[in-house]
Amino acid sequence: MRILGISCYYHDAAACLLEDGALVAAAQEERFTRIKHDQSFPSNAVRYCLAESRDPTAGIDAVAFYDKPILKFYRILETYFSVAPRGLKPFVRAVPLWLREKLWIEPRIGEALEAAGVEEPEHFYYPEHHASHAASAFYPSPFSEAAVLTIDGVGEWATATLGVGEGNSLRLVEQLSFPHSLGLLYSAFTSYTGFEVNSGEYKLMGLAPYGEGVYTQRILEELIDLKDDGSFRLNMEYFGYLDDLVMTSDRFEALFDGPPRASETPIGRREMNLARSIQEVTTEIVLRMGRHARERTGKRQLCLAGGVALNCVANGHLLREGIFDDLWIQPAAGDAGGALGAALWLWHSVLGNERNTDGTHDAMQGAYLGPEFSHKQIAAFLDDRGCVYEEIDESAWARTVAELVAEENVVGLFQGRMEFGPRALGNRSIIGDARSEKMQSLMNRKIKYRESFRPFAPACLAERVGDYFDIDRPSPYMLLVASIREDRRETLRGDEANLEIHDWVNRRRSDLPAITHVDYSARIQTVHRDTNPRFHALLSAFESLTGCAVLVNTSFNVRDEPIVCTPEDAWRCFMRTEMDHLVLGRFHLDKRRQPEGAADGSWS
Amino acid sequence: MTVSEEQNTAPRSFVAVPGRPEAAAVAWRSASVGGAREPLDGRGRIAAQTAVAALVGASIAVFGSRALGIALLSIAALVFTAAMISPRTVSNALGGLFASTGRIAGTGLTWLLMVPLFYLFFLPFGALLRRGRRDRLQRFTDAGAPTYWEAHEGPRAGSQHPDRQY
Repeated sequence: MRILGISCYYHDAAACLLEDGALVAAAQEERFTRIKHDQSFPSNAVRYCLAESRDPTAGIDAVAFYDKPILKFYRILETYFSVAPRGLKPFVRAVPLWLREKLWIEPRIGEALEAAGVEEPEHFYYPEHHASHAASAFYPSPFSEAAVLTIDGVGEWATATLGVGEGNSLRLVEQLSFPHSLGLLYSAFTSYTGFEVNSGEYKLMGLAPYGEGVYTQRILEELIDLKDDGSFRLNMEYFGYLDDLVMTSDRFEALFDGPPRASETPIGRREMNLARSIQEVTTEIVLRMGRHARERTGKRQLCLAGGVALNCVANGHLLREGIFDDLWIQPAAGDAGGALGAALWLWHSVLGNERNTDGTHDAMQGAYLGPEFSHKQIAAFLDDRGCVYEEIDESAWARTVAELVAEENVVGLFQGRMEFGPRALGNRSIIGDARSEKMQSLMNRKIKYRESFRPFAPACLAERVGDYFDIDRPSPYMLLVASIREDRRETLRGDEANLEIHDWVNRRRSDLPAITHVDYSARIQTVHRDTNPRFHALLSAFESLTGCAVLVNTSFNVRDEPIVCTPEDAWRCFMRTEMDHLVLGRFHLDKRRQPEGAADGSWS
Repeated sequence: MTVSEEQNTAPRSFVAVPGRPEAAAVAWRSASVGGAREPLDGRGRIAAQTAVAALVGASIAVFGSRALGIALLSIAALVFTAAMISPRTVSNALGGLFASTGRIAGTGLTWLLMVPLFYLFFLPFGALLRRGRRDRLQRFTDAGAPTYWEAHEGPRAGSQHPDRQY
């Protein structure tokens, strides 16, 4: 049986394909259209997933869409009933869009399938938004039973849910409802500190360690009524998202000492302190919710999904607190993962199919679920573009790439299937030497063109992670933050808070300076032989060459661009940044040897 | 390692293999690039459009306002002549003109319909619902409540049906 899962029309549209319960393919639409967080109907992703099928012409038995559109529209209308006479601007913007496009899901899916040469199926299914998130968290997890927590902006009405998963059954038991939302609270601060909602949340999280929690108490006293069990309500007088096109109101500005930071203007102490304060509040809420989930369900494992589950700082605290024996977080925890959750929900919850778990391995295949390009195709592309390249023998591949990295080169790494979810995990990555003092600054300024305060993540051999970090378990999807081990740290001088952010970032803090954040934390990816043997081999080669089993791993893109999908995307990014080398499968391109002006023109 | 610089002198086409999964990604890229490079058959299309405009102009001139008809005929003749000289420029200009006109008309129409709908329907019924304490949004806090968690019963009665959009 073939099930197509689809999510779209809010942000991060995606599609996935299940064949007899096995996850065959999943991809985000942004990777194909090159529009970051593209929310439009995922025609390209659907086409890709169908092409990945064992029999691409066999058709689809059912489609699962990740939420209930009419119920969501009803919530929007209820909001306008509630806030009128205010709310005209969002009303005029939202209602025509819904009437014109978002309510016509089935015809749109039919058109997309027709364009892919596949007949429209008879059956369409619509789980609730948070049921999709919960299914994406529980069903692919290694656990036979677990508590399930989903936290995001908003679905139909729910903004957070608590559920119980047992075998193939998944029940949602409690929820918090709109407009009281942890995701929207965090997004309000994201917007207020000058970052873009739905994409700048990571930046705010990265900024938090620079600040002090001077606003934490003010947030808890004025903005939110937080109960011991993690449930809360927001004081809506401080927020604008109900009746305006902005996240925060004038009262919010008065409470936090001034107007919002304008985008691209310098970041000051206030923004750092706000980032730290909202991170502390978020962590506290997640911890309280976790304790409540443990108490309410009695389960010893926890599965997490929803946009807030991408807050790896809170995840790390939740793990270290020891409330649960173990955590599993869906790597595509945001709305993209809803496509996967919807399909899995249909397969297990509705159709009653059993699931197999071993307590250790999940069903995500390392999240390597996207397009892959053959050796021949890459060669054809390189020849077509007149690129100068070398073909590396497979037996020497890992050693050759490791040598390039060890010489402090920045290397674009493109191999195997593209990752599903927001993180690059070694197949569409830019890598560098974590021991290099100049690497963080170099990558931020000359490769990624992004804010200098943002940290880079380490990729570490799974079997060696305990040698470098205070963590005792795998983190294959870069969703847990842990500290650098004490014996690897260097003592701070104590004047850091007085430094300009750029100088602060560049000060050495450990023997892995490129991946150590200012509070000694790191967002860890453990690399496993069974899910990515080539990346594992590369790290092993780097270790045997240098004695270090850690690399800098950042996504293969520049600021505000989606992660690369095709060899062409990778080559274009390589040629237009100051990246030194590009490894496309078994081909190696040295920037110095490429013809001048080879990649002139636009990015897209 | 095999240095293959010498092979690069004769570029081959980057062809996707139909039926292979990665073909979807490649086909998408090729289609968009190819689409942009495709030569426009502008002259024929614009000739047809201006012929229709001329016909309408002639009809207006004969059966209605002579001045308006002649004006329309003149515009059609001008566009036709320009299109024969530079079809792409005229086609782009016309496309842009139609798109902007459509956008402006659409925005205007949206406000024209939505503003009365909002104030004549949502405002009074919203007030009635709030007076009847049927405000679903619960925009208040309750210091005495032990929890804000609500039992999950499905968003609305009957909404558990997996094949319904509500």
